[in-house]
Amino acid sequence: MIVKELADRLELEIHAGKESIDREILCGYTGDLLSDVMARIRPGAAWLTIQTHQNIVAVAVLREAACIIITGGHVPDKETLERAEKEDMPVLLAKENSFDLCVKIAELGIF
Amino acid sequence: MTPVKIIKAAESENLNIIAVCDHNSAKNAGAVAKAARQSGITVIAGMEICTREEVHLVALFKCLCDALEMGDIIQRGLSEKNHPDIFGYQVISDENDMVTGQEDRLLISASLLSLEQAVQKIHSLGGIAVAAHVDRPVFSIVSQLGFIPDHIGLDGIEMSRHAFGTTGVHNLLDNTDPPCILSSDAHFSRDIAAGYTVFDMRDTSFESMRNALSERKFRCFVKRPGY
Repeated sequence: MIVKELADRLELEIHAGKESIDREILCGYTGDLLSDVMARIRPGAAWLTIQTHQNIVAVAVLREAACIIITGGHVPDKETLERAEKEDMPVLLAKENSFDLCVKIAELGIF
Repeated sequence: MTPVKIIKAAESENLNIIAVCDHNSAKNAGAVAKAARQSGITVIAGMEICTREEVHLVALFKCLCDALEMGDIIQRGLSEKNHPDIFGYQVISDENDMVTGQEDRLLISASLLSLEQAVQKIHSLGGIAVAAHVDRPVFSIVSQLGFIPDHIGLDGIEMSRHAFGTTGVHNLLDNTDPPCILSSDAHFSRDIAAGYTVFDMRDTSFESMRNALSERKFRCFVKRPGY
């Protein structure tokens, strides 16, 4: 499944990186401590986090995440979206908390 | 830890300057400064701010009033109330170790300020901003954000004694950018001076310390290594 389809099916708002929403999502990861995410996330992951600092873009690019999904209605910093735009990293916003969104993503066959 | 106990420990450890850095509050710094009057120890009013990213940031101020103003700004964003039965009492003490009040907000919670906003606010109040215990696995800039972001204007980073297995001077901290100091991060009296930084300064004023920090005129010591 590509990022755009996931966004459409789960009604996630796309706030940056629209050029790259045809990326394939291969797996998922949930984490808010970037040291942990850097160590464990796999390439092609849809990454769910409530961390909104601009460092999330660098971590996602470094680890070749498919997209970042900011959950729980948290709002990303302006700098984060600017950086994501520059790096072509899709940033999606979800109202659901990470757990609820994980369940929905798993129901779509990504786990 | 109480003001009198802190000063006694600092005296027996021969410290010249200490900084009082409660979580998200500066309301005990004045009492410690008063308790230090006979000792000759300089007490810096500070705070360990928990930013929105849950990064711990040490803020040091020239005047108590600036630290208290920072505390007000931080506490306006703390929505949770303390529950003493779960989190313990958050007491405010006078210089004789008498409890004069309690902090109402839950001080371990995160403020609304981002790391960048907190550094900017500290600087606008003339303070020094140091990323706390960067070697620790929790609440450090490295654990929360993976790496130290560029251009946020930190004046320093702080290592804790836990990073070291041996006592003595540690030169490996000499070439970091920003400068890296070592301090005890003492949460109990017994930890005071477990790690410390010796600054090369003319006097024990805040400005002399700021200069020694930016000019890297200091050395870091571990007295009691971590576990």
